[in-house]
Amino acid sequence: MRQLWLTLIASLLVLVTGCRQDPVPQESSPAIPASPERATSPDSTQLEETSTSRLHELASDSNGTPSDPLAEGWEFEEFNQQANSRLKQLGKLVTSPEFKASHFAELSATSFAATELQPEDLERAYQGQVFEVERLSQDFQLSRDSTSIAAAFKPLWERFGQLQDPHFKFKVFRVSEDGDEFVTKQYVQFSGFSEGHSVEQNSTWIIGWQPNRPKGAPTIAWIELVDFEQVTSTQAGGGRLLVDCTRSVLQSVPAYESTLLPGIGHWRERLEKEFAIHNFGHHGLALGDVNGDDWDDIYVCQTGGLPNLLLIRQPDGTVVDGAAEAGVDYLDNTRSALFLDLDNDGDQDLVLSLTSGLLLAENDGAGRYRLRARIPSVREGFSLAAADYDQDGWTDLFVCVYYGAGNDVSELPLPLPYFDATNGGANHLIRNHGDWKFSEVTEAVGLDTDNRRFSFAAAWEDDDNDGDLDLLIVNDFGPNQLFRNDSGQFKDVASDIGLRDGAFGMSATWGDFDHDGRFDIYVSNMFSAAGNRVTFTERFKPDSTQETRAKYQYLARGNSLFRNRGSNHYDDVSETMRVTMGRWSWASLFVDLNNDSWEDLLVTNGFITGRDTEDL
Amino acid sequence: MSQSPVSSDEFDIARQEDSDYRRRLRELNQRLRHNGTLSGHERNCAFLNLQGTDFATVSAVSGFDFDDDARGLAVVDWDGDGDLDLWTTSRTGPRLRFLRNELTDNHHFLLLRLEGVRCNRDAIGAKVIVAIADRPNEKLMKSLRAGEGFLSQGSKWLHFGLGDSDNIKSVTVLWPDGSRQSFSNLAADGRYRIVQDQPEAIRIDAAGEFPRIQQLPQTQTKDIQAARIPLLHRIPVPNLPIQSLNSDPQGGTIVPGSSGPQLINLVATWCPACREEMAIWSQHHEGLKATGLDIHCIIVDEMIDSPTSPTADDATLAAFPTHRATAELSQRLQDVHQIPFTPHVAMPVPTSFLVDATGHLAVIYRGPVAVDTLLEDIAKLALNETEWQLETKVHPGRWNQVPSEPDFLTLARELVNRGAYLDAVEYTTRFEDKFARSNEFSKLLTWLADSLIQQNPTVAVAEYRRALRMNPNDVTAMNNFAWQLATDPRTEVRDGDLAVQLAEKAARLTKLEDYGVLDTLGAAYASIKNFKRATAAAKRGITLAEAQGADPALIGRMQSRLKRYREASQNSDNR
Repeated sequence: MRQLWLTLIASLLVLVTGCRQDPVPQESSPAIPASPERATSPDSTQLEETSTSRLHELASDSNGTPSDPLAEGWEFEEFNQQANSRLKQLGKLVTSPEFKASHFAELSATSFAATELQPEDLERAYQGQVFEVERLSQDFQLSRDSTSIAAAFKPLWERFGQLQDPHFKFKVFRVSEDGDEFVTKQYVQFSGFSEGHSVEQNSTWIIGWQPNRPKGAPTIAWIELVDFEQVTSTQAGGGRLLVDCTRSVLQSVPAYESTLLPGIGHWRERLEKEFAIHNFGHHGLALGDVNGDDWDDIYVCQTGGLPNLLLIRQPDGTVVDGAAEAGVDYLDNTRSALFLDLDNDGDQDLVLSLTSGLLLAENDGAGRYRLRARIPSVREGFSLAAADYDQDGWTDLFVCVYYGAGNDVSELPLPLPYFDATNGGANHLIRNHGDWKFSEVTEAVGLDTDNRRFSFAAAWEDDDNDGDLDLLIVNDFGPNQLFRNDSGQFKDVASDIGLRDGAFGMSATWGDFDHDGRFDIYVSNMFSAAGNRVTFTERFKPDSTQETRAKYQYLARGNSLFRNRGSNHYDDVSETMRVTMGRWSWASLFVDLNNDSWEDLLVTNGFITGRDTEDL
Repeated sequence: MSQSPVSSDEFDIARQEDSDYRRRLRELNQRLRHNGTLSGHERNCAFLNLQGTDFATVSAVSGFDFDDDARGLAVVDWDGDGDLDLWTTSRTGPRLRFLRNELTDNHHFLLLRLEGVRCNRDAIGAKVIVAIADRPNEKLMKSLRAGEGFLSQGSKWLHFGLGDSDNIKSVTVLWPDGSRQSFSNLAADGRYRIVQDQPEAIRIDAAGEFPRIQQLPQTQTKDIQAARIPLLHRIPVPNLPIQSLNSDPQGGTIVPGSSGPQLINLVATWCPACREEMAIWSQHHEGLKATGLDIHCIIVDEMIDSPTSPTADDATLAAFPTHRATAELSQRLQDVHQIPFTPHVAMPVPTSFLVDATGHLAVIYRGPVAVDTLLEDIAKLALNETEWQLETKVHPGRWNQVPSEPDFLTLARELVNRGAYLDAVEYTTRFEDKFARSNEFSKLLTWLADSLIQQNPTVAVAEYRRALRMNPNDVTAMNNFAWQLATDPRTEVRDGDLAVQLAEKAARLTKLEDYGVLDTLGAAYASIKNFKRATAAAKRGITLAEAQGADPALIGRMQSRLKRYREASQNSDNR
């Protein structure tokens, strides 16, 4: 018998068999592989915004439920797509400079009723120097009155139709069927700017739809406003507190236009894949004073094939790129970096987490670096977090490793099980012995326990006020971990103190948001509208227990704020504190944006936006 | 049950290659590979802390809600005005943002830089508590962290917003070694360096205004579509079949590197940039010729549904040898062009390929290429690999680890896949040194030989032998060759003794555990009329095949062979 070239054709999936004759013994001829790569032509245009969070659909299908709801007719998801396109029309009308009553009317069912959408009866929740926050008053009438859709939207249009740079977004997070009606629940965001008076509204609407099947688009029968928050800003200069000054600060950096302006999508078509150019764009940055002038400089991590930048701050606030001169213009794929005084000589040394290993470079005091240690076993590190865990005076390093050994780091992993995966990478604790001697102590200190999570980030804090630093690790596809440090030995206590609940952990930050003298924790996860829609339908996992369903529902909920109550306990206050909806979060950070002494929260966002607009 | 596994049974299923869970992940990855979107266009979020009661969403009015695929975030008072400015990185362009905080209210602040003496000098892990005179029930607390959030590290300057208060009652530092220091004389809106054990904090003045920091749009000012892509590892190019212009059915072949360096230039007659490019090259014809460069213009109109047809008397094009693309040429160049990239990348016109004198692709040019660029690149073709890699970097920098070579075998595989067997033989022979590094090469040659055996037994046999030369222990190669030697009716192929030799070795290497190899071994023995051994091998093969659940049709065929061996064995015994 003839054999197939199994390893050879591993990447060629379609097999076609042919036959031929042989005189004595007969055998069929081996399979002839054909290329699947070309059979499926790439088409980014089909993958619009509405198809967000396929990962969750993937997570949340029950048996027989198709992965592509549209193709295989999962009614709710199909309806969701139709509703979304109608909501988009609605958003455009509200933010259009002209009030088009007849266009509104096209979206209305034969009869229409609504509560107020721009309520007059508001309560002031906060009045600062820049921001004013208003919410629904207790007296707000939830009852809906018969009216025309145009009349119902007129007050909202009056608010946003004339503003500059208007923006709207709808996120449908529940869909259900009620007799002949479909009912959707959605987050609604409107914003716009004007000189000295900018507005942002975040509200929740419940909409009743007349489906108009089989061919017509759904129309709106009623709308109820159930939550409403309006923030007005009196910030001068166009209304925004934060303005983008990147170009001016990087005006003397040639690599700015040539490497930083194009997105990863551009580079994937120009840099060789062997350089380790990954679609996910996981590249961070570090701030530190490289040359002792008391101003921070920046190390910018780049994808494989593009040199990392060392942006040295000049007295005028602009920067120059000194990476080549300083000897740290690495081309290797770099995810993160830290400035640390590793040898306690008063300058900022540099730690780099490359695909090809961990590098530790010594600052000569004048901002030039010499490579002192290379740890090739610590590869593919994600976030780095440094602390002197053993209080010997030398700063040690914790390295999060997301992918399990042997996984293709350029692709999405295969977490098993999906919400409690233990086939991720092994994190490392690297102990600094001084004099540029380092050793791996992960196992010795007990951090090798439950150490196959998909860890994205970690942060140190003295959680139990015993004088040493404890370690919070957030994991994708799994629970949070809080490793308590007791005399240099670590033990995960997350489940004992109310921190275990985790979902798709991306990042973590500590901050005392309520000024009670205890550090609280914010963990960014993912808010998934699709995941919410699907997991709350009755058809989702109909045979499973409420507990399992709740687990899945939790996965899609979004970010978590854990309030430290002292005496070893944290409360999950995410929803009452109104901080769950952080979209597809990455970094999260407590930052006092307006110097009012209260820690605000910032969350960076967005997974993969296909084909950059500037591309071919 | 669910396809996202919950129970251990479900994990087992999910672990299987063909589970729905895996299939969906594969689909998802396939989509992402080719520039698909997954939760894209998600804007950054900002939540305003309402004095500890709860938070309000200020994503838009804060100015933070950029439509980036944002990743890292680090804060620092960059401009020394006492509020926190932000740096973010992102996947989409622009991949770096500096966001200046334009806060104009009259809130106060305090900035502190710590220096440890009896602990780590950075004072990482130090906790600072600020007490404010008119807010006795609150403590403001920060600690110094190195690495927080995601892939990022913020400033080591600790920043405290103080609200309306400018009366700092005390500042307490808890150093990482457990010691504690308090300061009662720090002023609001000040910047201080605090050194462990030193009783006084040192005030540091911030510089004044920074007029050069301005809000400006981050738009691309240059055309970034054209690309010059010098390859770190040059790609071996297969022969390129061409057609002549005057619809002469007689085609030809460009043998890469045969005449020294070549520029293979894909053009369309309707493409103005192509004509312009070639007009410029024509003007520098002599200079280019002096380098030994051969330019081949290949008109790809037919490949791209063009409105016009190329003609031989096109004056501009005729300055260089001009051919018409064949579908096979387009495919081969596309395959070559695709090797370095993950997403499918289209070749625009003009696209040019600079091929060195050894037939390797050295530089890809998308869009028109300037003569000077071309001359520089040609001059570098003769450099050795290390020098080439240093000299041709588009983005200079240093490698900690130089990237490895891509899998060039793909190109040979595609040739075999499309039935271009003889070209595949030529290609793999010409670049045998390169392919020999791949441990799949012998498998590819076996596949090639299997594909050729009917039409071209002589070449096929040579390819089997080459496969075994490349990897003398390749069981597939020896098994398939042995099968052919044992069963082929043509005398120039048939060689029973060699079949037995190979099949025995294959059987040894597979420890008599591979029913396919045993089946071959049976056929080999039968071909030298050793039917006893043939019977024994076939019997064992069938037993194993049955135990391992092999294809019943195959087992049936093995049984009919066994029957024939037994009959032949009895016949020879009877004789």
